[in-house]
Amino acid sequence: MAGVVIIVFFGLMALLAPYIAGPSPTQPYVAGPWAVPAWATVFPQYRGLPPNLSAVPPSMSAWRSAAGPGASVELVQAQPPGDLVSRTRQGVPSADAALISALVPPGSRDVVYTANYTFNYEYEPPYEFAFGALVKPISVENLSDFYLRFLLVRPDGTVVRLTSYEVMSSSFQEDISYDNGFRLGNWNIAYLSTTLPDVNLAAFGPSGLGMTNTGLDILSERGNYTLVVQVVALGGSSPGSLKVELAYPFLFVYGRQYGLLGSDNMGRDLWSQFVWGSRISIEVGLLASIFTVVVGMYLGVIAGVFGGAVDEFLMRVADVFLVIPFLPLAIVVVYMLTHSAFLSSELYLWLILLFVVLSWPAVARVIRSQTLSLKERGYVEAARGLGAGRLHIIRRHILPNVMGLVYANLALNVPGFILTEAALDFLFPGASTVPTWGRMLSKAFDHAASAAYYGFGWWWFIFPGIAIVLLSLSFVLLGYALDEIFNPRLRQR
Amino acid sequence: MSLVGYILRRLALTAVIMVVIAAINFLLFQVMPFTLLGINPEVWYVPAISTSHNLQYITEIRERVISELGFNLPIQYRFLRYMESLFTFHFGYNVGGVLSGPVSATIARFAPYTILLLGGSTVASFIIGEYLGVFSASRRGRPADKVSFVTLLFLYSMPSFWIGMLLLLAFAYYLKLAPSSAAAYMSQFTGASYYAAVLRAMALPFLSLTLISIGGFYLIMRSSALEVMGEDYILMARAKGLRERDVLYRHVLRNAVLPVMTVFAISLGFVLSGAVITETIFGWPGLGYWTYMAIITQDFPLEQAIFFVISLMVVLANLIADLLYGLLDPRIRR
Repeated sequence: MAGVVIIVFFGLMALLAPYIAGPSPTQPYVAGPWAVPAWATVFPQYRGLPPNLSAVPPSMSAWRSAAGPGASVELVQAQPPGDLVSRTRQGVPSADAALISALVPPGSRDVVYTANYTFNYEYEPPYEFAFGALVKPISVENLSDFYLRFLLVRPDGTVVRLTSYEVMSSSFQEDISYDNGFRLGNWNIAYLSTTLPDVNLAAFGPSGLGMTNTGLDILSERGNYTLVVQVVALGGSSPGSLKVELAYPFLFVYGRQYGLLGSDNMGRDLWSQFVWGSRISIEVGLLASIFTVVVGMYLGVIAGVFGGAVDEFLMRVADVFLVIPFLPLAIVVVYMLTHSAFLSSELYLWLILLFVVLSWPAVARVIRSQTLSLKERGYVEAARGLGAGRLHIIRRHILPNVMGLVYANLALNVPGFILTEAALDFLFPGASTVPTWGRMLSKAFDHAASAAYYGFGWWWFIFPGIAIVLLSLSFVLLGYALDEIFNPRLRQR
Repeated sequence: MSLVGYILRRLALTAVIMVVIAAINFLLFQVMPFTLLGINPEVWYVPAISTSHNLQYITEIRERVISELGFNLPIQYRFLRYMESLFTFHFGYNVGGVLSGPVSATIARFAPYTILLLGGSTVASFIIGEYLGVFSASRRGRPADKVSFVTLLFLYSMPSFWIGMLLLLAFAYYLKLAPSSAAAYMSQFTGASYYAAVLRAMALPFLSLTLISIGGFYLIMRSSALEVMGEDYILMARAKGLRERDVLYRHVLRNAVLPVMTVFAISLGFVLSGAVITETIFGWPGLGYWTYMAIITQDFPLEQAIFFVISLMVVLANLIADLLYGLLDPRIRR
């Protein structure tokens, strides 16, 4: 009974995967790296870990702002393209933008606009965070440069220069896309993250981890932080002017607690991988088992009913397949498949075929011996005496009577296939990009050495394994139950 | 049919099966993607700087490898050469870049590790499984039976690589009691301390393999013991007034063990599969580890030879099981 419940549970999960998986299983930085499951924060050692967090509001009206010398600011309604807004992770479609108009004297280097926002950060330090803003340069005349400057004032008063983001280049005024993609008259995103290698924040503080986990050093304590966004204009040789809109400043803390199953070393959603992984396990397990049992059933019945040379031939073929070592052959075959562009796209279909080819003999043997005993029963003799053909006997007398065995075998074959498929994914994680439980475990194992630093990543190691065990176990239990129903001799005397 | 006839028939069938398996093994490596079989020289040697001298060297190596693998010969000669190699045990030379020398020497060097690990853990799990099985059967339906049944079914359904991972994580990375790679650890030692290192490195893979295999032995033993306990001679033993422990471990266990042994021989292929994964995870340098490493490093002569050796072991185990069965159960000799 428990077995059926578990099978139905994972079956529904596989069917409903598109609806319950959430973000794409391959999308990195959905959360921070090595985020624990959100529910794990009930344990004391995970209390206070930050969730995914937008620290500052998108609308400039909520910010304290000031215009520099020779500049003026007004608030306007802005509706940037949705894809840019979604990258800031500020979940509102429109917000107030600051429209900055400034006259820039030659040779000057002025902060034409400053916006501050003070937020209270009351979590443990994050490994990583992202920051930036949306910018729409409307007109730029006679400037040698202008850039965005991001500063962070920490609770102790120290100022961290996060970065200066250069918006302009010489080609900019001709409305040619600069290599960061900025265009005049359009909304653009200045996106920076401690995860990007070109944001050299490692110079700040000794994290001991090189370029990574800079967030640990910057948002290292609880308290009030102030994010400062400045627009800096550099005058050219003659009087210039700048007109620019600024909106959606963001500081996004990548969570260290996330979702149902947390995240992996690249901040990918493990729940999503888990849900999609159930598909392959069930698909390979069930399809391979169905085909194996159907092939084994027919060949077994044919061998049993026809006997003689047919029987001899089929059983000797079965002998050969039975002694071929399963996994070594599968390793060779998967290796071949992955090195062939044509075959690797349907990796799992080939695996199913391989499983069927190697596994039908065991089923055929069982069915054959059952057939042999059925063949001698009185009613089969009687049917034969009445002139029934072999096909008729197979269809009307043999097949209905081996069905119990067939159903039990159907269930009992699944676990082996699930385990072997998972093992092959574990050994060859690069064979496909489809998320599977075996592949999840393989990647977790690859990072076992660094896992020690990140709280051992138990959420990454345990759940796919438990899922494999539970699914296999439930099919074993189902098979035993079916066996007991159809095979009265096994019932307790 | 007489016993001798039965044995002869079995031997003949085994010979036929071996030839068919050898042919499959041969063909499998003939249809390997072409780039892997000597057309792509970088497979064996990647020079730091590409000069004409290097290129010439690569070409020479390539020619040598091609002729070593026999790819300059027509397929029927290759097959004959291959069949001949099965009898002379000259399987060619390692080409993967990790190992060097003749493949047969490689196998002779690494087989003892597998025999040690597999033999040890099989004996351990066999004994534990037997006793647990009989114990469980004697308490059929009671809590002790239910708990051990579910626990061992759980172990039985566990992926071998997952057990390995968890053990490594706990004992190697967390408690730091064991090395994370057996081969790397053992290579630091020489002389007498090497054998101590082998035993230390073997602890985790041994535990892992034992845990995997107990389930199978236990499940078969339990059902076999249940069947035996329904027999009349057990009733007789009880009626004689024997102590329950004597009935269980002298009468039930001894009679129930036979089917387990034959099932084990037949399932040796699966045991070897578990060994491949366990050895790979723990870096235990046995044949299972090299089954995986040979394919990863494209050492095809080694892979082919290991495949053949493993098949041979499975076939022989089956033959022995069949012969034992025929010897012990006259009904089989038809």
